[in-house]
Amino acid sequence: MKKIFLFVVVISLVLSLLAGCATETEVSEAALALGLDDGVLNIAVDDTYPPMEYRNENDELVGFDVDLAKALGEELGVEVKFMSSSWEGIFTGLTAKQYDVIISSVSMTKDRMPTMDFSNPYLANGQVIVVKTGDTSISSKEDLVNKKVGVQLGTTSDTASTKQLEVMEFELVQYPDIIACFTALKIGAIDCIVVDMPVAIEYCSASPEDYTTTTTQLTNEPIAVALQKGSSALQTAINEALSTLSENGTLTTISNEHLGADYTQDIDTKLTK
Amino acid sequence: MNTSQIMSFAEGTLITLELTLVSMFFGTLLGLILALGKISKNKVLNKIVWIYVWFFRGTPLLLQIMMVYFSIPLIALELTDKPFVLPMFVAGCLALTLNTGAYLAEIFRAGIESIDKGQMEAAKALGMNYRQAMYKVIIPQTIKRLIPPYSNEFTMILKDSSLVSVIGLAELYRKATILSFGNGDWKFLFYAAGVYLFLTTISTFIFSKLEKKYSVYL
Repeated sequence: MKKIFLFVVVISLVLSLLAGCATETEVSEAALALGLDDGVLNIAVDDTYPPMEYRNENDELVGFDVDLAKALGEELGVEVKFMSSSWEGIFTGLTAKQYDVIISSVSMTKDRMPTMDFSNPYLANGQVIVVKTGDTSISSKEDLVNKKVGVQLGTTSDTASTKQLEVMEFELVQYPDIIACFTALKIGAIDCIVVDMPVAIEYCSASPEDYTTTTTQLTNEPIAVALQKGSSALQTAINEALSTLSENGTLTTISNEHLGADYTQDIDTKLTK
Repeated sequence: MNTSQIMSFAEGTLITLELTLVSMFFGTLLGLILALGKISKNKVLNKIVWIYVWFFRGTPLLLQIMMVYFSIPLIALELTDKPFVLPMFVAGCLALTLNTGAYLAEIFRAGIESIDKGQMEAAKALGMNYRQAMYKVIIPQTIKRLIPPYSNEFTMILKDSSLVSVIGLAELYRKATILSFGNGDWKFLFYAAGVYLFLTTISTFIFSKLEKKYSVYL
């Protein structure tokens, strides 16, 4: 028994070591010019956020951001590698330089500016309010008073709602992931959800009998690629690639496919304080 | 469940098992060293071990995982100005090892101290030194007594390895949540519960067999 145990331990150790050793590859000049030492654009995604980044039935990483990242990689002429990360630690990971960029529905906000750089926004976004279908009690921000409001912890939905708490009273319920918010709304544990617009579109169109998006918007915060502070060569290159992708219609195609309409043009870049 | 979902589950299960086995292996070594440090007559050593156990038993494992995964690269970046990528698996194993080491140290210490003092005196009377008495007389006798609490700790680590999902390592729990978030179907969480139950049942069974085996000599 001892030997079997030892064998299992040794095998698992060897396996994990092998997994850790990346095979040596030639680093392309294009990658080096962008400051990517390993020749790969390492992208962090929190793959629990449909329709932006999630796993389909075949366990493949899909979504708006995934298609965008692949198109970006082609445009930049570098290989892209996705790294699954949890939302809780995704920004700390960027600061600790565990990956080059985050392409995971990161909203541009003033709060985030000191710790990371942003590309130009590629998708319009704001914090919208989702209610149960048939509930007409919320038609403006003020109607949130005394409601139970669900958000995903640590997201800009959370920030926007917390700021709203300074001017009015309601009960904020923070869930670790987005699906918990929607499930809580469905079972009546909360009255409404504050959430990114694309996610609201996804859930409301998937089950219109359960969820409806109100026309009320808390903040405007377009979505962009988040970069390590000071990676200006990469930032410039990504901005150029994004404008090419916007002009040749690639962004529109991706938006139509995942969101059912084009939200990538005429983005309102004025950030809410 | 289709084939790729089953594969995804199998992959997650394998990572959970690897996390548990690797952490328990190194955790046992660490725990043994700490336990010997705690019962030794060296006051400084006692104090160091006391602080170690105090910290790792007194703070949440979830927090320790976050600290290991993020503080090490941040400190390395600060010191060398070069990014240091710590693989999630290594960070997870390290955090679990450090944590279980503290618990096992207490388990081992209690086990060793539960052996009658006369055993050590008798061994010394036979001309053995401290080291010989420890490894040839005391420790072998503690093994049977240690198996139940050790089995308990093993089960805890097997389940608590799910906390490593917080840094994004796709072990069994995160695989299950990722699959259920893809389409909003909660059934994958129940499947994951089934797999954890299966694993804990097997490990409990193996440890009870081991306990029987070691009882023979006492």
